[in-house]
Amino acid sequence: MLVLSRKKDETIILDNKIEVRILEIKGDVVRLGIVAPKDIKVYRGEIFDAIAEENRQAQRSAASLATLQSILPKTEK
Amino acid sequence: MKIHDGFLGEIEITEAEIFDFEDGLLGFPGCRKFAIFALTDYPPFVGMQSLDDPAVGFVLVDPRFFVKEYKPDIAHTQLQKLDIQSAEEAQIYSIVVLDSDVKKITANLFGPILVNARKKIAGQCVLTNDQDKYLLKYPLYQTNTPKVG
Repeated sequence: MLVLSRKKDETIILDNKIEVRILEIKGDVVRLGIVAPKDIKVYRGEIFDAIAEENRQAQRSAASLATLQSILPKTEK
Repeated sequence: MKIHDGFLGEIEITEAEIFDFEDGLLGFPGCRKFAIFALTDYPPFVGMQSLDDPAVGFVLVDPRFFVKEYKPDIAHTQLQKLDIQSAEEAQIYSIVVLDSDVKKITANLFGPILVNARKKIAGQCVLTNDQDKYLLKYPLYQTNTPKVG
């Protein structure tokens, strides 16, 4: 992992097109400003963690397929 | 070919039912190839079994069976990667979390799996801004009745 120290108002540039600026440092909260082309999607890391966790929970284990019967839309049957 | 499914035991799948997940699946980075096949006894539910790890398998469902107007906002780059023009033209699945209590069965509407059947590739997409609208844990039970043809 590359580790950089930055002060308030300093930036880092990723791949010549994404700018990350330190806007504010207050206690244990850092506010970042990100300028990136529209096709670069920016997500909070927790979102990916939450989906990964949901996937792990969904991995079928002891739960029975039979419970699915009772949630089938009535019109489907 | 025959594969082992965690639920159904040994099952027969065709080449056409095998999809490459180039980016893997969140939480299961080592799994790149999955078979996706109809669970014939439980329509409209669908099975998804890893070919890399026999212990990894899921139940999927097209969320539009439960949420008719499901129109996820998926990043252009993610669609491009799967060579899909729009989410509507792809096969869309939500991963289902099973539970012995039917009220606790949920589907993940926020991280749908998009499938390009023509190119046999698929991937899990993260919606760009619908987190409140399309829940990570959407209970399927409550929507039992509204859909009437």
